[in-house]
Amino acid sequence: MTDCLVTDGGATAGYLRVGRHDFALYISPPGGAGGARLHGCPRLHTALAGHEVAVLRRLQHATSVGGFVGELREVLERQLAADALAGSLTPALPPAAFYEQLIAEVDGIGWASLCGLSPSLDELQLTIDDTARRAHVLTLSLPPDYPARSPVARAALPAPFELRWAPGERPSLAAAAAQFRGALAAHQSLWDELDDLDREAWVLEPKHPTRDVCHRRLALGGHCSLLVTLHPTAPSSLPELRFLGAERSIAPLRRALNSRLAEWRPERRVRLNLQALLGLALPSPVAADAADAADYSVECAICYEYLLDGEPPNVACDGCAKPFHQACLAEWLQALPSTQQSFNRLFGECVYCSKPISIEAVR
Amino acid sequence: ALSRLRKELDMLHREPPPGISAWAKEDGSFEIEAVIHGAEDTPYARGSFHLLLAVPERYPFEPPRFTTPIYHPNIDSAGRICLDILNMPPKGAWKPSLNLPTVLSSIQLLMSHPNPDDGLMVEITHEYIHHPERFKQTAEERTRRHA
Repeated sequence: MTDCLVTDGGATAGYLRVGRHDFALYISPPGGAGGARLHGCPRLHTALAGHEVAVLRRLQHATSVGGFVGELREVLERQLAADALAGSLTPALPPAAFYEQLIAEVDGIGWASLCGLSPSLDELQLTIDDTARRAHVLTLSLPPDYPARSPVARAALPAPFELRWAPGERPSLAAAAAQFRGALAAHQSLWDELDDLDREAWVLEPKHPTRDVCHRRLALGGHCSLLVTLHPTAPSSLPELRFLGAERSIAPLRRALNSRLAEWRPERRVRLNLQALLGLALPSPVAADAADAADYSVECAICYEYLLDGEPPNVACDGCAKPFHQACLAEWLQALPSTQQSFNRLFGECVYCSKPISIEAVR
Repeated sequence: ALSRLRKELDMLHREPPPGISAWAKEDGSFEIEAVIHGAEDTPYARGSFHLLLAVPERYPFEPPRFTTPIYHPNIDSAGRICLDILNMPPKGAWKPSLNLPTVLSSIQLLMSHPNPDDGLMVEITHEYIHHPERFKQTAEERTRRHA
């Protein structure tokens, strides 16, 4: 512990040794404007990062420079110990051999199948097609000591997927991809059924199904829908079915289904089985497109109508451009205590974006 | 109001928010029935909650009203739901820009994240804050029994 601090005319300058580090510092005399001030080398600032205010307060309240330096030393010792601990927790970069191995392996399976890579190169994503040419993404997290330890695999599959290695087998990306293809093969018939539903039926949700989702909510028409959940291991067997809609509309469907449950034929497509059991044709996605085609954007954003007493929307918000009928907006604004009226104008906020909007109170 | 209601029901039918369905009790009626499926990872999972909504004649200038009991800090035994968007300003935050799909989604969200600062049911709120485990159990049990 060899500090070298010189006090001259109230100011103190020199070096403070903490552990293996020397910190340069300069403490201006407390008599100056703003009281005593601490100046230090960049390393001191880094070490004290986050504690500047506390340290400065100690300095203002210190009775002697020696006492303050003692406190400063304690703070620095604590900080350096914490930094050393944090440093030992952040893993070192993997050796160069790790990267060489990685590049060689990706060369082997083809760069075209590499679809994602984390900036630190410890996670990569491979696109792998199944036998029906559906693309799947396999995410592999590589441990720094790869290939001594196995990568961790993640993928959207209806069943958990884990890489397994025979005793003595060395993990490799190609072998991981092969295991993934094996797992994909097990779910082909499930995805065939789900793809068929997505293609041929009007699926209300999920809108963008991932490959691990086994349920579809199908529109039946008449404001009814059916939640179909396929069994991942036995997709062609009778799925879990749940009707959604007004009881009076779904009761006959449920009766029809229950009376024909025995007619479920596993060799037939799920969609065709459902049609046969329900005794109706499932609405096609075309019906959904036709309904979507209805353009709602020109309608009044309050009454959802285009014409009100023969008038199209004649007010629009300056902010969000939503169209309104003057009468609709006036009726809403007049119901609000926050609305101001000046002569014949109402001043309020847009119903959608809350930007100020003003309209005539009465025509 | 009826025509806007019909369009909203049509929206709910064509693009329902996840786990939500709603329909008019009778064609052209102002009474709406809705089913909200409890979100996964909540005590209400696997339950279907049947809600009755009364749509006022002045809708959308006034919010819809609900009448269904759910064991929840913000829903009383008469089914009144403590949700600011279900009240008129200045106390509440109803706006005509909201509609049935957004209101039903908000209720589903409220079910997964109760708001104990605005509890309507004193005992349930107390249980939710101080005995979250017991709250979960009771809610799960009620869900199994009623929903």
